[in-house]
Amino acid sequence: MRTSSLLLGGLLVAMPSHGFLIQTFESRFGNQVQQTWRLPDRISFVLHAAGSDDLSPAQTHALIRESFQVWSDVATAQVEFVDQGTTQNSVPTQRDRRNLIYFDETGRYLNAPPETGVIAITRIQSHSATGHITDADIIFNGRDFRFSAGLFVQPGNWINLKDVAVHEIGHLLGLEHTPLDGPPHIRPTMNPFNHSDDSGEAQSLEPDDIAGVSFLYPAVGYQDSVGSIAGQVRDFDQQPLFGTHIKAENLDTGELFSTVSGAEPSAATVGHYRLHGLTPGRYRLSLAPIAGAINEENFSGIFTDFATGFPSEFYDNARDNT
Amino acid sequence: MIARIAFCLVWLTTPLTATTVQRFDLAALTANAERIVVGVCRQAQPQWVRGQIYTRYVFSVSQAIKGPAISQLELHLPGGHLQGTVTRIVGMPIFAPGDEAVLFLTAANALGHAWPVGLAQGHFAIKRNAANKPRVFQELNGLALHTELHSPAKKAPPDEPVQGMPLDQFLARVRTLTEGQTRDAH
Repeated sequence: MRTSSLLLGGLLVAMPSHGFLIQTFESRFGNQVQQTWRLPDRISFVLHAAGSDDLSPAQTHALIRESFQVWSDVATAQVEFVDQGTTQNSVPTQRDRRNLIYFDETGRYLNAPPETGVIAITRIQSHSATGHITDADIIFNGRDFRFSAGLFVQPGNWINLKDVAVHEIGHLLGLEHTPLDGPPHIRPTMNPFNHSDDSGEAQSLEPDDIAGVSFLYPAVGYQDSVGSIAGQVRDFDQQPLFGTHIKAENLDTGELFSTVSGAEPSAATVGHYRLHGLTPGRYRLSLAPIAGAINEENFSGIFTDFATGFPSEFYDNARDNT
Repeated sequence: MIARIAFCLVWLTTPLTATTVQRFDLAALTANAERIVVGVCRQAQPQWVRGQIYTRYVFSVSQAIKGPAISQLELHLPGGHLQGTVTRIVGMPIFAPGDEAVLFLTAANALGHAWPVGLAQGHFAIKRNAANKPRVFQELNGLALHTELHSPAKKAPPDEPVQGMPLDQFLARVRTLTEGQTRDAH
């Protein structure tokens, strides 16, 4: 494959949609399925009454509720959580159709040896054919980590609870990690890296996160208010390239959006891409391999075997952004 | 009839687990590992353990860099494909017979099972090029990584990246780290 130069075709169209990634897997029937909630305006959750040993139950529950609120506050998305209160008896299981938030203070449910460093997991069960999520539990490792409410977390195994919770709820909603990186204040919450020195930065959503949840669960009128950029990435032999990182920067607002080629199950070829949810403005479009600090290892499901080994490029085959 | 319906529900659902773990550099992987071995996967056998799918892997071990010398190793890791049900833990290494790897392993959990340190961070796949030269590749499989940065020591410039490093060079670095940590412990 010749990768020294690529053809980046861009077409601005006034159609709805996204820039981030959706959790997508290949079903046992061989088709690609995205994990989503069928009724996003009625996603229930229940909190284990004990909360975290490091905080009072009331404090724990308040932080978790605030974390859900961060996502339901997105005006362009139709996401509503149904707070089912607390439970004494429920334990994490993938078959009870109750979305439980649980702090495992003994390791009984995670079973992870201490040195594995597991902080939290979100277990999602979905229908193989439709991808509709049927059960999602978030389990925090309270045995090996201490969870804090404050923005300054002490050295050691202290973790800002809300930073992790907001990220995990993004997974619960069906969002995959985003390939977008950057300084903490603009780094998307669904970026795969979290730093304790940037405590608090993951608690607010960035344009890429907002575009993601709005694409998955659009509010009335949202689709008419945004545009998309679609195109195809091919090498000189006209072969479509999968997994290339397409970024669009709104030159008027500075907002960043991204996707990877081949991310949509409906794409005609693995080289096709569509950036969704773009706010009005002029855009600078660029293409780069997903390699370096964030690479294909930070993704799951179908997102593997990305095309790499080619230089970054801007729209119309330009090598720089002038 | 009830059993049949239950079976259908299980067969038609796909579990996926998103995972956030502490980030470990090579020094931390080495320090947190109870044993470090080079081996080849010989068997991968999924089975039910307490209502969850685990896969039992048998490795033949060619080198033990840390921990006692052994010729064979068993791992029991959550996840696998059994009787129409798939459980996949994002960030948990998956092995197939014939896979070569350098493994950084924890002490055993309550079930008596060791896991890779930092899940996929503790697994370096050994891949060979056309000239049969082995190199190591860390495959994170979708993990979200949390870095604790308060310690000044952790703000030191990172080591040379190990991704794609020749196996012998990688093992030499791990041995050096292991020996240094052993000296420090004494």
